[in-house]
Amino acid sequence: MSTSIDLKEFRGAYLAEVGEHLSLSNAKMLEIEDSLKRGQASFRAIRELFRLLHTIKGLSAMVGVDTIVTLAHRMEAILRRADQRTMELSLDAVEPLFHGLRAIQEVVVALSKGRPIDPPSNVLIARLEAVEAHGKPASESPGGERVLDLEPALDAKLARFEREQLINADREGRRVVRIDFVPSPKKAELGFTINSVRERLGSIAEIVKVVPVAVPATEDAPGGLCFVLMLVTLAEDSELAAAVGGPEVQVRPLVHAPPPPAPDPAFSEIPGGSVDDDDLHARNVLRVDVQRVDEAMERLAALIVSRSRLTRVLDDVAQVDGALGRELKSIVEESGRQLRDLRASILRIRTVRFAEILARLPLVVRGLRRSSGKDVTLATDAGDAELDKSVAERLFPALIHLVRNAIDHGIELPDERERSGKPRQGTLTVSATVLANREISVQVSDDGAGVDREAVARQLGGVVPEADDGLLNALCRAGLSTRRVATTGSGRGMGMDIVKKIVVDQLGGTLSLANHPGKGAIFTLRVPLTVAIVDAFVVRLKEDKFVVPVVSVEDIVEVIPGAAVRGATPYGLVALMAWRGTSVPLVELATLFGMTPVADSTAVRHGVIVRRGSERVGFVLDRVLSQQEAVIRPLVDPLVQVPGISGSTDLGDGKSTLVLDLSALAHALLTHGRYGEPN
Amino acid sequence: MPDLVVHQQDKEREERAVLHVLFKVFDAEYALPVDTVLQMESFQGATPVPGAPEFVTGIIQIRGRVIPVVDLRIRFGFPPAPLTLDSRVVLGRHGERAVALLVDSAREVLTIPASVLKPPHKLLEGDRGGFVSAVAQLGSRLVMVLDFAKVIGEESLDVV
Repeated sequence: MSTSIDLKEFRGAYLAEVGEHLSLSNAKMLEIEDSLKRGQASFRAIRELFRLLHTIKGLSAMVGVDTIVTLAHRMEAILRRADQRTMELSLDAVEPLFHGLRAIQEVVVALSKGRPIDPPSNVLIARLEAVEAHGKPASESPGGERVLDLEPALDAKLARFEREQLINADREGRRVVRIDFVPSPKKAELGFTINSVRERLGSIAEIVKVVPVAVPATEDAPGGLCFVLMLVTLAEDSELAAAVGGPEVQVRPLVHAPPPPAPDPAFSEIPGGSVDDDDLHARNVLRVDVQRVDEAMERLAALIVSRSRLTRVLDDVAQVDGALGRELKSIVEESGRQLRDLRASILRIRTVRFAEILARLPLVVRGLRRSSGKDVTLATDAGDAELDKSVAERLFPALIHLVRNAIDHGIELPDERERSGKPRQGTLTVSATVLANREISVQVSDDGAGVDREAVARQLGGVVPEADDGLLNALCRAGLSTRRVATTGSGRGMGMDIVKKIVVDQLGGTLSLANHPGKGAIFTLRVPLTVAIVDAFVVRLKEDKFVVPVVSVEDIVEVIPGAAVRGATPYGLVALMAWRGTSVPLVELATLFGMTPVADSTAVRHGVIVRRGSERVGFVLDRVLSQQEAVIRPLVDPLVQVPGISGSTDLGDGKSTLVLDLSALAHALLTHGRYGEPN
Repeated sequence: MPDLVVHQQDKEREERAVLHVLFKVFDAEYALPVDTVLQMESFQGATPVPGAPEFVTGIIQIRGRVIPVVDLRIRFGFPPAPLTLDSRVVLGRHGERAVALLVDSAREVLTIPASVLKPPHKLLEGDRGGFVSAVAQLGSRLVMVLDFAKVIGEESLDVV
């Protein structure tokens, strides 16, 4: 479509503009509601909201975002009616309008993230239509909401007007039915071809749509083709069946009321349904570019470095003047605490509520419900869990995979569920708790069929172990066998390898599975709240760069040649350096790592002091270059599991940079007197 | 499809022939079955890991994964060679592990029929030769098929 090209070209400007109009619309909506509650007129706000929505509709039509056009159009119609008849909106209309704005917002978000857009929710459109017609939502009118009972593939074939035609006909009390006609030589002999069927049906019913679909070919019907006829009629089933070729023909009703106790999760996501609170909260929220927070963090890092210089100079002053020195010292110590607090505060800015992350799931589930034809309700519970935004953003794709798997592979089709004595509607639960060890545990559980061990074994072409751990490992491997995935379509390749990569490799967490065949599966993932992304010093040692997590560092000192007492030890030259009223051994990191140390350099070098238990050790390296955030990946392969090296990170140059665990190095030195294999 | 015209006899032989990736280390030719090999990449240097075994050149990043590189020259007891434009890493897989092998060059993929595979000579089973699982005689060429698990030091953990 040409519209997709336009969309790309204008997306940025379009999104910004619609975003602006949306927030104004929300404000107007609040104004209207406020007036309504106080029993006052709000013509002006209604007219302004109308104008805003009209603009949004126009912009969206230009770039071909049909979902927004449809929504805005429906909402506009409600407002126009209220305006033209100089009749106020009823309070009942307020909520559907808010839902409409929220739905538009969702599309805007999806677009800005490059995610696919769903057509507008049928339920929402029906509500808005009902408000337009009666001035209040349909759920309170006797007709109730109506949805089409169609496979998603068929549903997608219907144009909006056709869908409306079917639903309206039902609302008007006519029968809306579906007949599947499978042509066969036998039927053709008796005179029933698709053309003759069309003709006969046309005389007793209104044919709204005929969709040909491929079906498995049988002996009777080798064509492998089926025509799904969607009709509006007043005729009886028997008459219809006769027109299509016999009493065995099934006539199925096409329009349904949606299951009453299951409101669309897109709505249930609104906490308490209280628009006021929700919006007030939103108004107190500041949207900040992460880069600005990082900037603040960098400034703070510079401050920390100057503070450690100050501390060093202070040690000399304290020796010169006792009283003044002590006072200065206490001030500097105080500033150290303040800096730590400030750092914690800045990190808190980067913290997001996990509930906000989970709030994106209903939209995903809605999409999957449509594409899979499964009936699923989503329950989320994140409690008060909060975690670093970058962890949350990395974790989200893993959650999506687990949710998709649960719906695509776990939860059965409604009929199948009924046969195994389960409620037709499946339940998917995503919950999160913060553990005592600064980890978050996220559970994705469903009440479906569980993981099919046999199917996984077939997929892998091998035997899958009995234990859940083994099964999980097999699942995570399945994604690797790309050849198989390609041939089995949806397969069970399932992207579990991606989940594992994110959770285990990127975030340093764990993944576990509790599989209950026939009853469901529970995937649990545990990741650190923050530590996977650490604030780290980048240091240089000869030509190599290393990264040292800031938290492990007690101090950074300048090592001036000749200022320390030297002594030879099995692990190279050790110098003792005076530090904060005590002495700290300095160890040449280069020697420790088997590199030739710098021969009698006169350059001032840096020492990084770490503490292990009550002992302190200083590691001498060439230079502390900078401080930055680093995503740490653990080194998992036994070949490179070395004490003192906790992982690898990418500083942005596409290469691996080693992360040093100096505290572990100190421990190795203190307990074994040397560095290398612990035994 | 050409397979359809293959004679029954050829077909049987075909079934027992395995596609191998061939590479050179210190002028000798080695091979790994393709199902062990994930991919091949040119080599731009690795990040050395202090404290790791000597034959581990370092770690590299491939598609976001951090992978150790085993220098086969050093692993086999040969002197290390300077990197050239021909230097390649052959990324192999063993169970959960992915390990890259640094080789002098790798530019051939060859089907080796099972019939030409012979058990390695006794002398090859010594300190260095434990890595060779079979020797293939292809005309005048001798190709040593590597036991990847042993190369990456996993002989005892390997459960089939």
